[in-house]
Order: sequence, then structure tokens, then C-alpha cells
Amino acid sequence: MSQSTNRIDFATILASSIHDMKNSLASIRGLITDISLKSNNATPEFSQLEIESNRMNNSLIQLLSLYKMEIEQFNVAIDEYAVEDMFADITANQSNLLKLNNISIDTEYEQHDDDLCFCDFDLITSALSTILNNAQRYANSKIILSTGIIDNYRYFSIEDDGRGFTEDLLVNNKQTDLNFYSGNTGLGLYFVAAIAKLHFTEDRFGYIQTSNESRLGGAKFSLFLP
Amino acid sequence: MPIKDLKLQKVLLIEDFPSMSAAIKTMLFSIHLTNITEVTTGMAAIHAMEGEQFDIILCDYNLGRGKNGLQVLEESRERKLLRPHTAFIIVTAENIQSMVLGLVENNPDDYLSKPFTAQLLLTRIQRAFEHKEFFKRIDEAIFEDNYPLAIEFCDLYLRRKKSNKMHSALLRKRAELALYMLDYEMAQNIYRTILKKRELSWAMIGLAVTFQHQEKHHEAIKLFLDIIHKYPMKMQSYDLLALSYEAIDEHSNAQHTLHDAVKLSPNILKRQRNLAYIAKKTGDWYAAEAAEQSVLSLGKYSIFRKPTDFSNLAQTLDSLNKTIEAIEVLKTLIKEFPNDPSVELLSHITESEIFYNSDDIELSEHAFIKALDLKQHQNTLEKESKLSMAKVCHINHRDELANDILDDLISNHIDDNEFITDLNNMNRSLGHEDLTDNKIDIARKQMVETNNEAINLFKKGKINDAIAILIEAFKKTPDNKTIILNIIKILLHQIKISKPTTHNMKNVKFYIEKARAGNVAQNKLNRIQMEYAKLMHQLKQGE
Repeated sequence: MSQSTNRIDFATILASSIHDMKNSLASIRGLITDISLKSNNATPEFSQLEIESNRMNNSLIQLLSLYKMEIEQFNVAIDEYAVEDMFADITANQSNLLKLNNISIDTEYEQHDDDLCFCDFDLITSALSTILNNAQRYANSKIILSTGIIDNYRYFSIEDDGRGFTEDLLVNNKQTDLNFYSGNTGLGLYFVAAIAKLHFTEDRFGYIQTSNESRLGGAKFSLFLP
Repeated sequence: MPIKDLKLQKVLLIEDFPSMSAAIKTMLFSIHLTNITEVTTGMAAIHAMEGEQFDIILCDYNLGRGKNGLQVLEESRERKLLRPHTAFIIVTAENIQSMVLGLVENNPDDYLSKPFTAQLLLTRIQRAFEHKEFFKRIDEAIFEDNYPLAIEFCDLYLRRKKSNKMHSALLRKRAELALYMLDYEMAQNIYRTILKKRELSWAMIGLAVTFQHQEKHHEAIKLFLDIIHKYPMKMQSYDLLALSYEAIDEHSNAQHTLHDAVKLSPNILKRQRNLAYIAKKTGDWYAAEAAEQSVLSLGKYSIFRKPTDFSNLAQTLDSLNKTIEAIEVLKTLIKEFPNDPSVELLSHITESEIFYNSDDIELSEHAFIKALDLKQHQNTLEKESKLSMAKVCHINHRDELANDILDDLISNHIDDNEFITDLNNMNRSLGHEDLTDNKIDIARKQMVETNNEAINLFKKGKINDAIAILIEAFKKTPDNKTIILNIIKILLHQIKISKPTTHNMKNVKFYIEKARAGNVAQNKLNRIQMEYAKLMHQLKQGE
């Protein structure tokens, strides 16, 4: 048997293991909820368990999604959506966490339903939730979530007042291919960049930018969609 | 947009894990949803929906044994237990692709992945209500078959720019309504205008469906292939593509298309059933068996399950010389539909046929005798099963009974070329071909004569006489599609020249429903539906 046919498909094995881990994690999370309800008082330890298991789950979902993008089995459903609905979803799912960590969030967008965005609603809101989730870990007390249009691109920015991105996580050119894998934040950025790329028109692709030019003095992340 | 008073909303919570149920209930209380009915199984959910109407249904996907969330949704839709304003939201713990695709295909009002916060749940509930509220008058008009009124509302909202965020959904609805009213130009215009601005998959699919309606199947196929290449997860494209392939008799391509679809999204019963049907046409018995096995397992708790799913699988297994397995499947059939004589009849007929094919004459006769005892239930059988019954009657020398069944089948289905071919093939295999050919000719002549007579009377203005003749024929052969279609056409004409009343509209609707139930091809129904909708609009305006 030749070398190539005998070689194991590592990606597929990883994907199926991730699937398994995700299922186990789902049971663990069910148990956590169960125990916390039985014990009848929500201690900070339970919240911490919830946060950590959430993070693990998000990472696993990101890995699986990246794998599916690689084998082109990824469902992208682009349509026109109201920015206000997207913001409502993003902040709603982080509400507990933000409260827990005493972080306030400011949203800046035009508060009427004319402000529309072409995208896959679920993908973009989950991508921005991932970034917001990271931001609240590094922020001291404040995050700004904003959106608008620059050069015919819809952008979404998340700025915090933490210590900023490390050198290896800075991306400021839309031509750069991301090739960093430094921990959870790196994976998160890689994931969001991949989702941005799935948004394209005839001549333009979505991309991300990271910098330390936050108005609050910390990290600034931006997602651009054509 | 005003938000409904949540305290008044009735919630049905379907969740099998008590702890999860309690957690979600706490969440619902925190957003002031306090009128909650809790159930733990799909069956209990259906019972609850039979008893009262809910505003919000929150249903977990995995419900342990019994129906899953998707099947609860399918059944409540099929049995019209959901009111148009009810928001059906499915909650999932895992994101397995086959499950998510199956969900998306069934289009619940929303779906939420666990874990979610109370705030997100509230956001989604409000959004679902907002959407329903916006489309309320359009949906109600559609519900009453008053499509022209639905179009009026659509156009009004589009002109007023009532809500920009609904603009896309509104255009989509408008194009679908145009298609229903056979306004192909309008539908194409909308889809093409959208596509010029941005390539959206739903507009591409809409355009391809418009081609399909116009019977431009080659154009439709080209576009569907492009859609599937670019958006492989748009599952409905596969079904539609297969439909166009079938329309131009490319069965093998249709089979491959559906095969690709079930690999991605295997949980849709009707798709598996269709795949099995087409695989049998191409003679791919292995593919048919696989699909029919899936139909059986998907059907276990599904409203879409039919006894013929079992007998079809048994016949396929028989064709693959798996006689023992085939008989086992029939035993399961009886177990799954207890105390149902027409199911027992179906099982005995199939059994007799299978034993005959494997040269076990004694057992075949034994099964046939049991079938004979139940022959008064034969009218409940589908036409294919009646054909099998005629076959086993012939085999067992009960020619008179066999001929009665065949006569009945021929006169009812004389306009169904595919079935008449099947019937002829069956007969040929038993060596009776001349007899049947003769019968077919007579039946065909008779149908042509009846129809011509009716048409002549119609042309002379004797509309009531024409209708009387057709209705007489309908009573004799209630499954004859040509007769039903002619009745509908003449009734619609009569209403048009007099005026629509609740009574005459109800009468014609009866025959339209018959045509639908008898699987009349959609392209033959399109114009009828449109005419009916126009008259319904006229009726409502007059009121």
C-alpha cells in the first residue's frame, strides 16, 4: 500500500473527536445547571464554571466550523438585516457575563431600522459575540460596540479599556492571511477572519483589523463586510 | 414597534429534562412570561395543542423517546394546530449538521442554541412577534386563499416603505405571490432586480422556480446546479432540481441529486421517500432499500408515516431476494398499526405476493385466504396496493375478483400513463395482455366520450347539463383526474359568469381539494389556484 493512501486523515479524526468532546461538554453543562439549581443559590463558583464551559464550547464550535469551511460544508445564508437586531442579539447573549464582571457596554449605532447590513445573521452575531466575549475578559470596566459605513464597507468595531493586543495579534492589512494560533484569542480572531472572508461580492471580500487605537485606551477590533 | 403584553401570552414549554425545564421556566418568569404549560414529551405537547392555543411554543429538539422537536413542529403544522400568530421556537443543545439542516428546512420561527440568556430569549420572542405582526394582514389573506388581497397589502407596504428592515422579506413574499398568480414577469423582475444589487441565494432559487413554473426545465436545471455549487446547504434546491430532472425524464440525474441531498440532510422523511420512488424507476434496488429503511426509522414517531412505507420496503427486499427480512418488515407493519383491518389486508396481499415470487405456493395461498377475508376493506388501499391485490387474485385463480379490481383501476386511472403502464406490465407477466389492452381502449374511449359530451354541452351554453354528466362520471370513478379537472374548470367558469357566493366557492374548493389529494400535477393546478384566488377576492370585496 502506498504512503498516501495509508495516511490517516488527521483533520477528520480531530473533527470527530471535537464532536465527541462537545457532546460530553453538553452533558457536563447540563449537570452544572442541575447541581446549581439543586443547591439553590448561585455562587460565584457556578458562574465561573458556566463561563469556562462556555469558553470551551465556543472554542470547539469554532474549530468545527473552521473544519467545515475547509471541506466546504458550511452554510452561509446572506440576507439583509437590521443592525439594531444584530446589536440586540450580540449584547443579549453576553448580558450575564457583563453584569458578572461589572463591565458596562456602550453601543453606537443609528437607532432606526433603516440601518441595514448584508450578512449571515447567525454567523456575524456569533463572530462578534466571540470577540465581545474576549474583550470583556481583558477590559477593566468599559467596552464600546459601534458600527457604520466606510468606503462602501459595513464595519463593526469593539473597543475596550484593557491592556491592548499583544504584537503577534495585530492585523492591519486586508491582504494579510492570518496564521497565528496563540491561544484562545488567536483562534477567535482566526475564526472571525474566516467568517469575514465568506462574505464577498464580485470584487470584494470581508476582512478584520486589530489595533491598539481604542478610544478607551485598550484593544480595538474591527470587522469589515462588503 | 409596540411589544405585546407578555403577561397575557400563553407559553407551551416542551422539555424532557426536569432541571432544564425548571431553568427555562425561571428565565421565562424573569421576562414576565408567567402563563406557562409544561410538558415533557412530544406526544403530550400535541395533546396540549389540541386542547388550547398557545402564543409561544418553546420546544427542545431532543425529547428522549418518542417525537423529537422537529416532528412536533411538522405534526402541529400538518394538523393545523398552530395559529398564524403562534411563535414556534426550537431549542437545541448540539449543533449537529444533519439536525440543523433538517431544522432550517422546516423553518421554525426561530431556533436557539443552548445555553442562552433570558435576555436573548426575550429578544428572539419579541422579534418573532414583530415579524408576525408586520405580515399579519398578508398572511391572513393568504390563509383565506385571497391572494389578490395579500398582493394589495404587499404593494401598499412596499410603497409606504413601512419598515425598511422588512423590505427584503416583503419583496420575497411579493415575488412568491406573483408566482402563485402566474405573473411570471413580475416574479422575474423582482428576483432579477435583487440579484443585480446582490447575489442572494433565495432570489436565485426564486428565479429558478419561476423557470420551472414556465416549464423551462433546462434553464431551471442550469440555475439550480449553479445554486447548489455556490450554496451547497440550500437543501430545497436539491428537491427542486430533482423535480425538473423528473419532468424531462432524467431519472438517474434526479436520483443522484436526491442522494447528494440525503447525505447532507438525512432527516427529511418525504425526501427519502421520493428518493426510494425514483431509485425504483432506475432499477437501483439497493438505493431504494437504503432510502426506504430511512423512511421507516424516520417515520416511527412522524405524522407522515404510511403503512405502504412498510409494504414498499418489503417488496424491495423481495426484489433483492431477502425474503425473510421482507416478511419480518410485514410483521412489524401489523405491530405498528394494531387493529387496523386495511393494514392487515395490505400486509397479507404483500405477503402472498412475496411468497409467490419465492415459489412458496402454499404459504402464498395461505396469506391470500387471509386477505380474502378482509376484501371489503380494499377501497381504503392505494392504487399500487390494489394492483398487487389484483395480481394475487389472478395467481390464486380468482379471476373474477381480479378483473373487477382491474376494471375499477383502469377506469379511475386511465389518464395516468405511468400507472397504466405498470398495470399492463403486471398483467403481461401473468399472460393476460390482450384482455387488459382491450379494457384500456374501452375505458379510454369512454372517458373521451364523457368529456367530449360535456364539452359540447358546455359550448352550447348548457353548463348545468355538462356539470351533471361530469359529476355522474365522478361518482363512478372518483379518482379520475381528467374528470375532476374538467369539473373544476367548468365550475370556475360558471362562477365567473354569474358571481361568486360562499356556497359555489365551497363547492369548487371541494373538487380542488380532491385534485390535490389525488396528486394532480402542480402545473395543472397552477391556473386553477390562481382563478380561484381571484374569485375569492371578488367574493370578499362583495361582502
